[in-house]
Amino acid sequence: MAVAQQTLTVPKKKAQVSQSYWSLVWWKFRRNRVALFGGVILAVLYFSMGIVPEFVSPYLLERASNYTEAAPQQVHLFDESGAFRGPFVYGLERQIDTVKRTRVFVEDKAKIWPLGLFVQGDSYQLLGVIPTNIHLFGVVSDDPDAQFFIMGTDARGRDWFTRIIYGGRLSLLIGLLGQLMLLFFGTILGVASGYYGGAVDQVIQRSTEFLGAIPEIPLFMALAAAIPAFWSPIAVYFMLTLILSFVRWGGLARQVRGLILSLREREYVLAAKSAGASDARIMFRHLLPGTMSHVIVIATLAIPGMILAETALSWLGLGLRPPLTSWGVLLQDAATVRAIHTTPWELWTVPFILLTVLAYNMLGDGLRDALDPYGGR
Amino acid sequence: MTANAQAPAQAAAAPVENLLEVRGLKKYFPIHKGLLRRVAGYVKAVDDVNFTVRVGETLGLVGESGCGKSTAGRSIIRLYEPTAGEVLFRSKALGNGQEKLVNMLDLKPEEMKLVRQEISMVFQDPINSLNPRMTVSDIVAEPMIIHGQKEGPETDAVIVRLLERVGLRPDHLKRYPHEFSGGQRQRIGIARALSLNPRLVICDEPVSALDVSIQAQTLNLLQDLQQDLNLSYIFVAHDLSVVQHISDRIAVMYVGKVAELAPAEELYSNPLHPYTEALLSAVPKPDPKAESGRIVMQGDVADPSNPPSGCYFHPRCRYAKDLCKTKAPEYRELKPDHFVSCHFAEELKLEGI
Amino acid sequence: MTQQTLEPLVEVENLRVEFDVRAGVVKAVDGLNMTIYRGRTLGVIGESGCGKSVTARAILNMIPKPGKITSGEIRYHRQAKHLRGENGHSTKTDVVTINELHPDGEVIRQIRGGEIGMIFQEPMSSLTPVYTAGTHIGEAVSLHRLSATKKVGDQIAANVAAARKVDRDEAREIAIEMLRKVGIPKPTERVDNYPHQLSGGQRQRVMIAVALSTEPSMLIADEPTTALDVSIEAQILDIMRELQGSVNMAIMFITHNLGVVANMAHEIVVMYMGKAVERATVSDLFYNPKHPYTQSLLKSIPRLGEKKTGERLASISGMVPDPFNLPTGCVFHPRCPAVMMGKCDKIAPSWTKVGEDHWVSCLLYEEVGA
Repeated sequence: MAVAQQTLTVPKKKAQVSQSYWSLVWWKFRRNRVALFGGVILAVLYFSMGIVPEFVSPYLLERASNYTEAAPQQVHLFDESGAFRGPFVYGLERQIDTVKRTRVFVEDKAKIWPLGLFVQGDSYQLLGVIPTNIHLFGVVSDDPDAQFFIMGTDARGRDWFTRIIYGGRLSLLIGLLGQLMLLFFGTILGVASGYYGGAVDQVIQRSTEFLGAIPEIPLFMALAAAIPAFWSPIAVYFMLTLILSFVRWGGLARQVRGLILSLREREYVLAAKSAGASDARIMFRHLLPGTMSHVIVIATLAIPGMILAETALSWLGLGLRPPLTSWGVLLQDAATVRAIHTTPWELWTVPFILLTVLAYNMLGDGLRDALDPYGGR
Repeated sequence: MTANAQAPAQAAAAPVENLLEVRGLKKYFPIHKGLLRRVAGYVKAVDDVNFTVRVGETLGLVGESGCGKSTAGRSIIRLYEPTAGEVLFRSKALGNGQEKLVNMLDLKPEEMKLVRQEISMVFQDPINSLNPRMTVSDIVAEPMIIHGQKEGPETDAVIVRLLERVGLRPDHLKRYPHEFSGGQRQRIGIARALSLNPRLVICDEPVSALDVSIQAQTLNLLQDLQQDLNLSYIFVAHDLSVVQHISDRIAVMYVGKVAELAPAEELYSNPLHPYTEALLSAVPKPDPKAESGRIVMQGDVADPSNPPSGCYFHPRCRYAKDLCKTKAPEYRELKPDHFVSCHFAEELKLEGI
Repeated sequence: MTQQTLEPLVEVENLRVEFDVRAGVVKAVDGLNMTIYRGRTLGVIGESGCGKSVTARAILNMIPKPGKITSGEIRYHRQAKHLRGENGHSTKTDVVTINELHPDGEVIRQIRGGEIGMIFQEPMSSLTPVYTAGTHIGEAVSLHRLSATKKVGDQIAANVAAARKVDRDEAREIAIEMLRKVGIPKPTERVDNYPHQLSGGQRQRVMIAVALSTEPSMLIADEPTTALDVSIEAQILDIMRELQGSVNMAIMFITHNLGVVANMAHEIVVMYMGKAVERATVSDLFYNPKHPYTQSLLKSIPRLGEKKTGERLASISGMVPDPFNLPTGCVFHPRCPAVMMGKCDKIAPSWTKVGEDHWVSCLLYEEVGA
């Protein structure tokens, strides 16, 4: 064998396990505190609202009560005599507010309802299968009237916090599901458009431009109106998600197309072609993975948009409607002049929306920075 | 490699040893202008190129930017579809083990795919020629997978052998390209090119992006592989010293055409084309006392989308006459195995190295 | 070589530049000594990762983060321009310690561009060890980079006006003259072109024109012709030599191309892994190289006109070491054909004189106790 054997050493790195692209991305992502924070927040939100809302909220969603339009109850630690009693709330007593001419609920210092964690309450099935009645927090008392409304109640006496949690489930999932669908369609179309060029490209690009030129709200109204009224709420929900992503896939397709146009000329693509690779292989094995990182960032940063879109549309009455609960539906109740005047605590929905959007932005920015782990390659 | 000694006899005999013959190869890229993207003209990247590659030899394609050497190399295997010409190849794959002469530009896609097993390519850029998301093992195995072999212990064994052959260790199999240096990445690219046991390898500037000392290692590797595996090379590069070191015969290209084609030693000792003469003289020699009677070509390299009239080189040629401005010279075999494209090649007494 | 008194222009003494990256500390330049003389060309050769480009930037105090000069001095012998006589010499010289200047301060900004110019190759990825450590090293200051949005003539004129205190019209005239000097045809037309309208070779010439428009006492050329065609390279090198002669300008010519440096330099420094391993006049280096690295390098390049059939190039075995895992003793010893195990892996060599103006850093030439 005439080939010279060299003493070749691969540059060693610390903690060298897998050096794949994604592990490098993860390494770089980990160092970004803000992004990690955002990620953690989202994880908490999705877990608590998406997977175990029944556990996190003290009541079941449809549990109405007589305590209609009650203000949020204050948590006390010391009673009137100054003794430490642990966290508790006072009882609620109905009174008439002569100035506002409405019913209000004030603290009845005679009754003391202690609070606790992991309390027993209404029964439900955790994850849909495990029957249980433990809730994250609530009142611990034998008094059948004992209630803890951490964020007040609505006009039917339903706990607002519970409504927010359950509403979050739909809003968060719409955002995510919609984005996944968008990702799927947008990427495939973008790849086809960028790779084939010519007529295929023209058709796809012109149709996305056409769709993009139509004003979104009227288009959405038209499409939403086309959903038959007799469909079940869940079907409406999925249709809504589909519509939301349909209207937006053009932007992603265009960005993917741009990426493909540059990747297409890379020498490793030429190498695959020169070895006889089929178009499909080149698109899926070589081009698509190269776009994935960008696509993920684009998608992540677009999810808040979808959530806000659903919120806005539902608030306008064009999207989800009662009995479905989403943050948009909640805002319908909350964002009227009367409501702001009498039940301002219903606006507690808003900080949750803000938190979600912020967390997604932090995460997305972190992902974008981590995208280029080679740094200056 | 011994072809030089037999050159006079070779030219007269039928080209039995020609593995590849390129005739009249053209590749024009249309230029689109205006609102309706009308075709306003063409970049004649490759404009009537002729050469042959013999079994076991290296043909060098050298020239400056815009001369079309890379495009020619890529057009031969139809990475770019040629606009015109013939590429005759002695394929064993299409002849069921026997050699069969085919025109690659006439082949149907399935047939072309079979021929791709016999001709492979090594690229220039160590960073971009390997897919950063694939492991070394995937990269080297890909040609085999494309041609129907199943991933498994057999392909793994082949890959390990290939890596060892190019001087890499088997424990590099599961690593990613960015963990290697430029020189090592080129070796991975070479291993990939060899995975289907090709007969012809087109090397497109394989050492241009490497450090000087790594260039030497890589060139040695290519030479060793050629000897061990009886490979033929088309070696495309812009560095004359490198090309001259590894090539048996060299074609000097300028703006899409071949200015001169000759055996390596003949080319630099007795150039027949003024461009070759000037190019040889312009290459900086690593010798402080080298004579500075250098011919410095004025002006810029001609633009392939708007080449000069007549002979493309005439604006920069110190021997140019009126004829050169109006009439393009013919590509002819002036001496045995020595082709040149110049009106006055017989009369000019040019200086070699 | 005429025995004129060589005046030092820039002295680099014991320079150390380190980059603090995630995986550790990279010693990009590790104890470098060299001198650039007024009116002479110093060639700096070496491969990727040897630190030659970092040295150039250190001279202008332009090292991009996360790098910094950790020790050593760079002394610039500055002459008041208006005192310059016909032959470029002056009696009044100020020594400025560059590494002590504030990187964004008034003085260094006057020097940069105005007195020490710099030209680069067109951007191309170069593989240095610091890149494989996964850190993004960006260009800190784009000095004399051609802006894509301004006309060529305007860019030169702006430079001239700033440095020479002339008005706009005169600056434009000077710009046209500079374009003519660097060999751009039809300079009165070209002065109004944008960079993208010019070819690569012409752009490089414009960069030289911009750099020279301030009549600097030194030009740092970092691989200026690497990306150019050989025929254009020959023209550019000729221009640089000519201009050096006419304005007595020193040049620090950084390249990995031994052919180019043989033609351009008066003295040469060979660098390896941040250290200088040999320094000599150009003929001493090529005809009488002492350091095994230099010798191997010279043997490993294919030379035009010297082909012997089937001969292999003498290559340097092994690879450039991992900057985080440098060999002990002499950094080159694992690859050295003349290595003396027991000595070279334990003791780091020091700078030894082996001839008139010829220095090496190698234990073969050093008297060391066992």
